Amino acid sequence: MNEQHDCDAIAVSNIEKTFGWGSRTSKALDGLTLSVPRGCVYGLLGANGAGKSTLFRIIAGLVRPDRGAVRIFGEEPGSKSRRRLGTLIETPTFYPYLTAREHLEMFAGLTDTRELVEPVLHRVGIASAADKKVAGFSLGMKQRLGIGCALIGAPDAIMLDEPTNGLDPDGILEIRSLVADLATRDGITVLLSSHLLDEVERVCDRIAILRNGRLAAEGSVAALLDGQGRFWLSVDRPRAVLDLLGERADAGGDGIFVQVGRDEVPELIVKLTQSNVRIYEAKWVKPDLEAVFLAETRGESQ
Amino acid sequence: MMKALISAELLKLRRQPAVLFWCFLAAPVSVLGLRIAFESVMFMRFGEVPQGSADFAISAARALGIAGNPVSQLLYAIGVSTVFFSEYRFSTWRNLVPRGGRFPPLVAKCAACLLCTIVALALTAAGDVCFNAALSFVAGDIQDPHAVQPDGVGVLATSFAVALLELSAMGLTVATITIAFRSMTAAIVPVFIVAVGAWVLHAYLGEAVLLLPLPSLAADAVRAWLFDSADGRFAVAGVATLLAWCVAAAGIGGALFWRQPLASE
Repeated sequence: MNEQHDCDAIAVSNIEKTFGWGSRTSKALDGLTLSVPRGCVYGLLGANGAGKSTLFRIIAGLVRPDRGAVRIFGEEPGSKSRRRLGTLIETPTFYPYLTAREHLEMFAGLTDTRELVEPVLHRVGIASAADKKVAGFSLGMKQRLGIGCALIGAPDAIMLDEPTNGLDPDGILEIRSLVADLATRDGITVLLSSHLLDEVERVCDRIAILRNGRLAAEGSVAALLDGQGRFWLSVDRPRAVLDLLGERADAGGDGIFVQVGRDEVPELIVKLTQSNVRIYEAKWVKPDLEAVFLAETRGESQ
Repeated sequence: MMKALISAELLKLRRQPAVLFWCFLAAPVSVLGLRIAFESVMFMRFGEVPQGSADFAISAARALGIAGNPVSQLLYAIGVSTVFFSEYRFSTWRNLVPRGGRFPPLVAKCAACLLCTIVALALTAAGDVCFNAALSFVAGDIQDPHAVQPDGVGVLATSFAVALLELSAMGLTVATITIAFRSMTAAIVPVFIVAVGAWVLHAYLGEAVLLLPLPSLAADAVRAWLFDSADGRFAVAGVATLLAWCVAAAGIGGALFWRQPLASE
């Protein structure tokens, strides 16, 4: 499903990871294989517990996989290859008694990139708070500092796990444009996970959707959206339609979305009218990532 | 990279002055403060003019025995555990491990603790020397050419090494337990209880317990040889025991952290 090349920035193959013991065992990743091409903004989607953060932690070397292999820029993972990787994993965490500048200087010292501290502070928008202790930072400021820490080593690739968590709408727009800028202007590969599907759709070139630790779908955004249009109905008795169509129908958008092929629409209309359902409006809705995501993760809760 | 990691650890300690003072500097300050208080009370109560020690180096070497005091060991254990536990407390291994790997950050933490220990012990010795010099000055025998004997310097160096080895063995043990249980309490309480137990055993049973393989007793065994002319086998067994504790604790701690999943610190 996912052909790997040496030119990939990050590649994982047949990764398996189980947490817990005995009856409390839970499989976080189950034979996952995917590769992130260089220079690409790659989105990772999945419901909570799908395995996104575990994958990030395995790539970062925080968790060892039970099976499978990770390659970073074609090399075995190690201190040298991981130094080409900037990471922001889950909630950004810092020492509350240090300032933002001290954090950046500390991490810059590990990669001999102290000259980047000032530019990075400005780039992530916390230059004015650079000398304040992190204990007083809002979640949004911590997110910005977290992204700054990911950028400070002049990495060739960065992994951002929910980078817009806690940011206000302006902040989300800024980070979105920063991510796009990193890829287009700096040529940095970005592996991004987010629950904001609209954001992912706008900035990512390719997307992988995880379900129960496995790859449910993968490809370019355009390819994933292709053929995913939904049929929408406005009716007088939505409850009756949901009962009639079962799992093929979902309530949404003041009406009902129906999973149906274009050829089946006339029969659907006849079936509903014969059931005394009055149809006020019917239309095909332009596909979006939310529809793809819901379709691919639908089986998760069942 | 090691230099940067050690600098980072020292920066973190500098930004926590309470930890730095109470855990690493309180013991030397207390030793000096208690000695000044004791001599002052003796002078005021009995009118005895305090006398400096005959040999400054021997006196300083004896002062380094503070490393075997359970209270100073408790403070030191809290300091070491804080250095290691902070990464679990603030979930910051996720920042260090991808950049520095697993071993270098651990080695940097050990180096920072070792440096603080050396400074604390040096301050203890220096404080004692300064106090004795001040007493000699007050007593008017500052010109005494025998204030520091050549033998005394050797005893001081040996005493310093033993104190450093004792605190290193204890520090590495505390670090290992902190890593294993991701908890400060789990690391400090048992180490303190063992230290108090060893101190009580030594106080009641004397030399009979010095060959038990515990760090404090092992260090006491070397000090007994150094200051009280005890049998040489005490020194050999003591140093061997301290080295064995250091190697075992470092090995176990390193192996535990090497395999430790940091899914949630």
